[in-house]
Amino acid sequence: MCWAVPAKVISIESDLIATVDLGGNTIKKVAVGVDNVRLGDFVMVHAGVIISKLSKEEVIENIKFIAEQIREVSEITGEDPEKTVKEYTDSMYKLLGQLDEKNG
Amino acid sequence: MRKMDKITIAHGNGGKETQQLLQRYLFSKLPEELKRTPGGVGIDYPDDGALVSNLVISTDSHTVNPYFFPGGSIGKLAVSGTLNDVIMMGGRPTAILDSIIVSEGFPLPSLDKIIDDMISVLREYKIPLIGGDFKVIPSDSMKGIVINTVGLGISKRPIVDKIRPGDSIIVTGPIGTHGAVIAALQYGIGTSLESDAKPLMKLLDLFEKFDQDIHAARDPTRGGLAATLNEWAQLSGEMIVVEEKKIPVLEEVKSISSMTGIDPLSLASEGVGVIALPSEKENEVLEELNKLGFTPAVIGRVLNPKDIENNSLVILRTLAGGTRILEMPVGDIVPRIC
Amino acid sequence: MDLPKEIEILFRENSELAKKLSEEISKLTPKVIEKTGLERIKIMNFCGTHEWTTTHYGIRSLMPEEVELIAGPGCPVCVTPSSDIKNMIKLAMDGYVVYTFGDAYKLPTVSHYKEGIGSLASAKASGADVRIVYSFVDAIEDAKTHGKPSVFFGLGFETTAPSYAVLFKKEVIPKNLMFYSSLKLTAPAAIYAIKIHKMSKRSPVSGVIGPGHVSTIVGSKGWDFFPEEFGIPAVVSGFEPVDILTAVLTILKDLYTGKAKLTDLEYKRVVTRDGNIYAQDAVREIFRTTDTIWRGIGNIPNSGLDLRDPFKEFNAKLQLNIKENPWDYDLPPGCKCNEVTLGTAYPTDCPLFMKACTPSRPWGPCMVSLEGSCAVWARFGSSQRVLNLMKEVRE
Repeated sequence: MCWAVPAKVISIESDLIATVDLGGNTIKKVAVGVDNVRLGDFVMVHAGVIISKLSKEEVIENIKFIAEQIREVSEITGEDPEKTVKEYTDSMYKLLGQLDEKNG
Repeated sequence: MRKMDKITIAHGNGGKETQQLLQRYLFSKLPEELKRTPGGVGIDYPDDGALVSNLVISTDSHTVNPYFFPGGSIGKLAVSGTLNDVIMMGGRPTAILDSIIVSEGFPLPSLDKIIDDMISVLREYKIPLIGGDFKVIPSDSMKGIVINTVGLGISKRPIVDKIRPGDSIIVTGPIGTHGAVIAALQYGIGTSLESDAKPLMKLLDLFEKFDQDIHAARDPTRGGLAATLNEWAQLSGEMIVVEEKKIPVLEEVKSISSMTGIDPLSLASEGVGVIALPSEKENEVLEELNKLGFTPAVIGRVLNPKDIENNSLVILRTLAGGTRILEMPVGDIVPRIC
Repeated sequence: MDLPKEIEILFRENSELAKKLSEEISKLTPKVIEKTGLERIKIMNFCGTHEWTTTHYGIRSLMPEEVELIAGPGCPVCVTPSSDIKNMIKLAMDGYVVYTFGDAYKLPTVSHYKEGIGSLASAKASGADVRIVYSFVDAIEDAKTHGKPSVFFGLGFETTAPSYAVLFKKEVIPKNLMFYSSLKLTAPAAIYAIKIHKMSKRSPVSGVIGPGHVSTIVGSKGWDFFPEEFGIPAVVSGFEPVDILTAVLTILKDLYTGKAKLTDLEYKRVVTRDGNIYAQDAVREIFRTTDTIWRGIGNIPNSGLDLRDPFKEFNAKLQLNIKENPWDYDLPPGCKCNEVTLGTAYPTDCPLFMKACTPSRPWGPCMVSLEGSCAVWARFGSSQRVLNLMKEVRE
């Protein structure tokens, strides 16, 4: 189970209640289930409670994990690991680049 | 049916339960000749409305909670919804009738505002209100307000929905907006989104210009795009393939639906048309729609399935490039945690 | 920077990467089969939302025939016992305002509470005050406004428990709102399912997709027993298509190398190895572990949570003297939902499937929940049918 979505903390009422924006000015009052939540933090919200934080560094770690899997699998299937990983990382950073451009 | 079975909200979701209930308790009891006038279209053919020679008639009862919402009210909805049903049958609306039922204790200023909203749409499009009814119900038997409207229109070339292999499916704008606004209000989600409720009068120009080519037209209200496409597939026996990537959905609607787990494809639109037409005409129609101020998109096409098992299905090519069946919405549309 | 948007583009709408991963899976599968001698590779998830992603994005259509994605006991709707639903219906019919998540609203009891009343939805149709809410916070705010005696149906797994715990901890619950705990813990049920699998005649579970959001709380280390004790690779995965495909690829790779010692963590953007300590502490302070009943399965020791004594004034079971009956087999006669939930039987093995039990008239809980395996098979057919559909629409 456990449906959860990313959101941005836009105000902190107390150490218990915060308000988040789920994108496009979609606002919800939620309970705080993590330590040290700060204004502007990105978080995951499940059933009206913040269950964890999100950060850019961790997204990068996530991308790296996938790269590592692709590398190891390429070694098994006999492809060129350097080539497949490069193709993958290039395409991921290209997507990120397009997004940054859009946001100026 | 068990003796004590009762109506639940799901029976009115506009999806599978509504279809089954009506089939069982209404359609199956009527002999074929009493389902339509000779040569007309009636409840034998689930379309937006009925057809009696060149007269298009449509009726709809409107309930919405809350009855005032960003971008409109039940009054605006009751008039534009019924006008849209007439329009989607290719009828130019000529008049409307209304029937208002309110509960005892309903605030008069709210009723005043709701009726103002109805009249403002009628004024804008110069549609006479030629009849109606007004009833009050004791407060212990009903809460709030229900507005039924009947729309009349004339059509030289009615659009009786029949999709064909090779057709393209076009939506005239982003879908699910009205449904998302209502879901946000019901579940305490703040949003700057407004309902898309509006009459689609401009589409009549398109329908008249391409009168040979429009194979089907529908406004995907209750049950959303998923219900409309499934009804078309069932009516024709063909298969519809839709590309999820191409379906326009506003960012705000995406957020509300991803938070609540409600699929935007089953959320109502109140100011969007879905049209099926031969793919050769796709570009011309897109151009015309853009000229009329719409933001149209081609979302899919109609196929004749190779395998007979796949008749009457709507298939979605997902964002991930996978394939799944897009179903008729089932059950209550409620938020979920899992 | 808009992180949620980035995630959407990289992990959800990235059909190019999804295609690439699915190709890698297809290339690796025969090698794994050759090396391990397995006929089929069965990968189990323990989360209704993983099942949702799998179905919603058509992930099964991207798998080779030999790789089978199955759902384990991770859908609270499928495992909430009939007796809990009945208790909630009774409270609603007795005049309490009952708050529930949308998920449990339609869930049926085995035998009706009263003729015609076999779910909270039908109780509402009979005049009871049942309110669907998005969160416990919303229920608290609503209960404060009307002041009527109310009960919250506290469903959920480790992920949802902190949302209750933090609010109890700060003493913000109004006196008129009681709490009925139906909270469950995933690990005991997962161990139970895997053990049953080892004994079943079907091909065993070869890999596990660990529940990503449960793991935000318990940490990815919570699943180390899979590789350590059972020799089964486990990957804690996110909920976007790319996440699930990566998890499958990782499991296949682990099966091939046989080297996996600990849980792999794919969902690095959200989950840590140790989890959310703050939430763990809050849950420990408010709740104690209890034995609890899983629908169709029975009692699993130490697999539930209930309020500790200092909060007994909020505990609906204590205050309203609701007796917890010993488990009474709570599936309709013939229903194999227990085996289907555990992944040891296919829906088509059940004699009721699509005969006495259909999506419009469900008998067993697996047909009720949209993510229940039977409901998924009824609507979409077996994996074979999905692959067949894929052929139809391939350009």
